[in-house]
Amino acid sequence: MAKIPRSFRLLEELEKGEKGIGDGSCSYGLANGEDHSLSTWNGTILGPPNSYHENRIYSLMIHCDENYPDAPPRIRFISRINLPCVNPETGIVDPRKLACLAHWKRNYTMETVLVELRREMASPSNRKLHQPPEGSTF
Amino acid sequence: MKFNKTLEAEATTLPADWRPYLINYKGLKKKINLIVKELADMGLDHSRTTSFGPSPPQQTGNVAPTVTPENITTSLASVQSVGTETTTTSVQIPVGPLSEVNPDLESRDLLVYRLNPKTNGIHSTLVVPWFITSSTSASPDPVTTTTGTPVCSQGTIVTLKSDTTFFDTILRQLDEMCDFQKQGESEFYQRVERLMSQLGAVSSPYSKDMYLWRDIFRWYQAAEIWSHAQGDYKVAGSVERSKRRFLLFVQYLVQRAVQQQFRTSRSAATLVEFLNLNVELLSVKFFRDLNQTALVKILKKHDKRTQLRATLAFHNIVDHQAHMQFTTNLPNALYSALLGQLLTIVPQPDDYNCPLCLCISWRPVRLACSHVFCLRCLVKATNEQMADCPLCRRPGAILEATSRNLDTALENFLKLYFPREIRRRKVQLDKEYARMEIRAVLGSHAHPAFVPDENEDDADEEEMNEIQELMKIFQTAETTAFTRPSVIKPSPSLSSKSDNSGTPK
Amino acid sequence: MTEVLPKRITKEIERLMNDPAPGIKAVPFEDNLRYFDVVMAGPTQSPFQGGEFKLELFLPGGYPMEPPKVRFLTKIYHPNIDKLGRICLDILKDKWSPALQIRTVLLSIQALLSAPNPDDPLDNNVAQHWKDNEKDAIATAAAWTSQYALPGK
Repeated sequence: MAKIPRSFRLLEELEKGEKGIGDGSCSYGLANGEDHSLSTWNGTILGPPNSYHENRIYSLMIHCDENYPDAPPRIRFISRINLPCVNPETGIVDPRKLACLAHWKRNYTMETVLVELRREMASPSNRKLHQPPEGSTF
Repeated sequence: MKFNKTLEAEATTLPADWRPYLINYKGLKKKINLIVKELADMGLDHSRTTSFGPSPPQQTGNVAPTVTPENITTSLASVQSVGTETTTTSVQIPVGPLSEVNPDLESRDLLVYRLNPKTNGIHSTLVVPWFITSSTSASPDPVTTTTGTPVCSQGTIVTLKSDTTFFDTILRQLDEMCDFQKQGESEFYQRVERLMSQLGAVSSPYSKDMYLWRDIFRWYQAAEIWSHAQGDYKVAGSVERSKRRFLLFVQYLVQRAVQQQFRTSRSAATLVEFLNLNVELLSVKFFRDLNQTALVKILKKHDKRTQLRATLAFHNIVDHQAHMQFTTNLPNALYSALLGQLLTIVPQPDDYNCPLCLCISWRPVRLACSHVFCLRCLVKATNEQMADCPLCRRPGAILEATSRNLDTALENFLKLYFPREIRRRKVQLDKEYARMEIRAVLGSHAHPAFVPDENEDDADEEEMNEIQELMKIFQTAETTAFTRPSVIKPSPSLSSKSDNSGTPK
Repeated sequence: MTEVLPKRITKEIERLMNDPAPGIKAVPFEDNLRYFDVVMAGPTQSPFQGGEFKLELFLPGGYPMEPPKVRFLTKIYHPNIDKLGRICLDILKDKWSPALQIRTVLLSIQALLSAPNPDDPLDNNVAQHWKDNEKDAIATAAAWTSQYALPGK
């Protein structure tokens, strides 16, 4: 199969992100619109309903290095959050603790990661977890 | 001098019957001495012509400088019109030393040197301006002179006898050479035609050697013996280059053991004749170059020794007369005849590629705009909602196509002339179908082991590598510093074989 | 697993290598023969003259039924090329034809450099600049060329 190079893959994701994905509960875009390297991205997740996160908006930083999409992106929460896969000190998502990062596949995208993080928030074991005050950051 | 020796040495490499038609450089050189002598007798020897050249002439007295080096060129350009004036006046007049006519004469720049065409040669004259002769002649009347000397508006016309002989000799030699070349040309064309009919037989789809012949011509084209691409243009190379590349081509044929692979005996003989025609072309090219050089050199020598600038005027006259054959590129004309014929006889599969898959058209479909594509490529295009001709964008051309658009004549032609390519393409397409089906069943991540590989039995690839290898050989040869190569001599084995091939079987 | 390259792509690569288009060099990456490193000389008589522009080109799985993807890597001031190097050219989108090739696509991009089209812009600011004061816009483009596209950079 044709193996799409990093840059064109990221441009595809950018186009998709600009159009808006899914129901709009997750979104992402380039942190700097002139960043030729397409490395640093901003992501947002709307807190899932019927959870402690309902009506909250979480900001994240996504970093796609040279090895993307052969290797997963690095994700860091900017908004404070209490989740087992997120380091409580730094906000960095531990790639070993999120399935899609731990078992990364080349056809996974930033969207895959955001959607899975949102699912984490809504999971029965996590949705009632006590959360830091809304609006606080790492 | 040196060139004479080189010319003699190089002439020995030409076929014996060609040699008499080379310009007789040595003989012409002797004739130049006679011109120098004649000029000296007229008082126009070297010692008196010190200021000769492009520097402005010294003006004698108050006479208007009607004749300067600049006007000389002008008068040469108008040689035709002046020529009619003087063609019939080739009267010979005894001319004493001009210095006696006018002791003030210090520069020959004041004389107009003219070459005029006449019925079968060239009339060489010096026009002595009125102001020079005026001191001795009674009246400078431009129409009639008391002495009955031929005149023109600018002065008295003096015939240069030895110079006229010199140019008459050159013209005669050129004429003879032209006749000789014309004769050779028609012989060559006859041979090309004979070769074509032989080739038509040995390379036809009914011959077992068709593919071998196709290879030979592909290599022949890759060798770029007679012309090569330079930027966007095709340029003819030097005779040395042609020779070098021809020899490499022959070596390549030997290396590929082509002669041993022929399955019909007529193929072998045909190849030898083909190579011989190329050798002949090389000789023609060399002969022409040698003659051109000799002509340029002898004219240059003439101008230098006599200080009469004839080169430009001579070329004007030669162009005006029927000596065109000398300048037209005979080898190129012959070569294009050869190549044009060869290409129609031996089609190459690349000329029948589908513009979409760049492979030979499998089940060719001709759209309304007459562009041809594989049926399969058009089906793929339709699947992508494409409706217009991919080449000319004619609206709806693909959509409108029906089974009537299948070009069966072309399909039969391709099957006949390219059976291997068609077979190979069919196998490729079958495998492609298989892969698609497997993917459809197993999904796009099917284990590679389940997907048949396309690369087995890939003769196309082989062909590519071969061409590249060939190009590399030629490239290396080009960059290797060649010492001045000797003229091509058909190897004895080659010429003896050609003798056999000449006799019909 | 390495992909089996369609014959057409192999043939295009052969031709690009043996008979490159003037002012254009396109070399596939060894580990991905559908991905090309491209260097394009700025056309003469354009503000990009003297510049050497790097591009990347990719042939997606659907090629040639689907157009190649192309992007400028060198920064360039042009109304039809945006800040990320994306190119607005009809043949790369709805006017694509499978009879076009890598070679023709790159030649078209080179032609786009010679003839900017501010009426069909990708970068609105640059296009406006071009429309308001073409002379000044061309001067900016030339300045960018010497700042970002000098050979050897």
